[in-house]
Amino acid sequence: MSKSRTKHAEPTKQKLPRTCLLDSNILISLSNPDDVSYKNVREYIEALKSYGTLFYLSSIVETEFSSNGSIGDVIAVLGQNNVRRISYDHVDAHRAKILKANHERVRGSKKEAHLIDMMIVSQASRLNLEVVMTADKKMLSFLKEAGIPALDSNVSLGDFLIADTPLYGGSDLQA
Amino acid sequence: MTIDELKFIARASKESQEGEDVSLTAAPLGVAADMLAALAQFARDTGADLQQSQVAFFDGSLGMSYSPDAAGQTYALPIVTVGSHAFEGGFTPDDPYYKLVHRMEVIARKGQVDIDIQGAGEELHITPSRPAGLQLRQEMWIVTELGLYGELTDVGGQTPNVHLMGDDGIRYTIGVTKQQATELRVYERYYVRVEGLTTLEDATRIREAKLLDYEWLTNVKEITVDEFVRRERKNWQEVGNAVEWVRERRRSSDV
Repeated sequence: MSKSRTKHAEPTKQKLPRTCLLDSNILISLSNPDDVSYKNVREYIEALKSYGTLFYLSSIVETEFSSNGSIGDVIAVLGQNNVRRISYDHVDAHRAKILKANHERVRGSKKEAHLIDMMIVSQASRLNLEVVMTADKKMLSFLKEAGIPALDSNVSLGDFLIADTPLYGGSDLQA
Repeated sequence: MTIDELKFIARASKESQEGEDVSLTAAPLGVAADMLAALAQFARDTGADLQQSQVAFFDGSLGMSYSPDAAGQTYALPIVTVGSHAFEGGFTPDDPYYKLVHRMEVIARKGQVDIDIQGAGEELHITPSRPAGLQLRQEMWIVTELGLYGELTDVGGQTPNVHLMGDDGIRYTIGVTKQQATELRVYERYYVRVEGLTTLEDATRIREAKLLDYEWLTNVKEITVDEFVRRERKNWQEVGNAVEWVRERRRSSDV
């Protein structure tokens, strides 16, 4: 945290979101203190929990996490009443198709965005969630393209709270 | 997409043999009166205050522009936007704009005039013999699976079902087996997974819902992050970088 940042803004929790969809890498980072994002993710999760944020778990994320871990543990640590589990249904599939078409129109490529990213973003889009939390640069870039704010766990909670920028993560976050 | 101003331009139809001009200074009373009546009804249908809404007339034809008050401006055309891409959701028969356009179609036919409508997405052209062609939404009921949160307010019945007051404020009726009915507790919070029929446009409308599975939302003991790490670390310590691990899986799932 640089001194110049602390001069023009005091940390505030008002920027924390009320609803947040967690990407798989966040849950895995939280499980493993050796992971490069562990410290940041832990700080965010603890802050969001105390703020009363509602965590959304996509069935897609649950499937990815369940390949090694227990989703029951995730629900237990987030708090059962703080979690909303969401299935992927035909409405999401419809939106994913539109997002894919939009992506191809903007980027002119059919391979840059992975289908699963689009599926998860379409769920966040349908439910009008405030943010998707991830450390994945590809996902961050895709969220930006889809107009969905992201919480970038590559940026520490402290830096995020004092940054002048609104709720937008990734490489755009500048003090 | 909300509507700030709608413009209606009525002209003598080229399809009409009479071919007389329709202008601000010479317009059939029936056409003018019916257009105003249609606008007033649109204002009412969208919740606008007639006294606060404005209508203006312009020449060259019989031109009318309608500007709703703030309340009327909350009406939005049924267009869904995802990212920067918009697509037509289609109209229901009771949509205010659909009804307005339909009234204009009747006026065009009765008064033998052409009517252009501007200000609500694509400009519409109506002639006595050609309607605007707004499409009604075709409701398609599709089998789907949903997860719902809420409180059970009723359990039982000869054909067993439960009533769930969802966190979204909607009351869902869900079919259950007799065994499930004996297990579920009324006035407790549950997360339920249901299978039923729903529509593409509104996933909160569910028909023939059946309970697949449920979780009682008071039986999971909350744990600390340290306890979570103690349980999960062994499962993930071989993974190394979480982002790369997930990205690799997603890459391999693309075909």
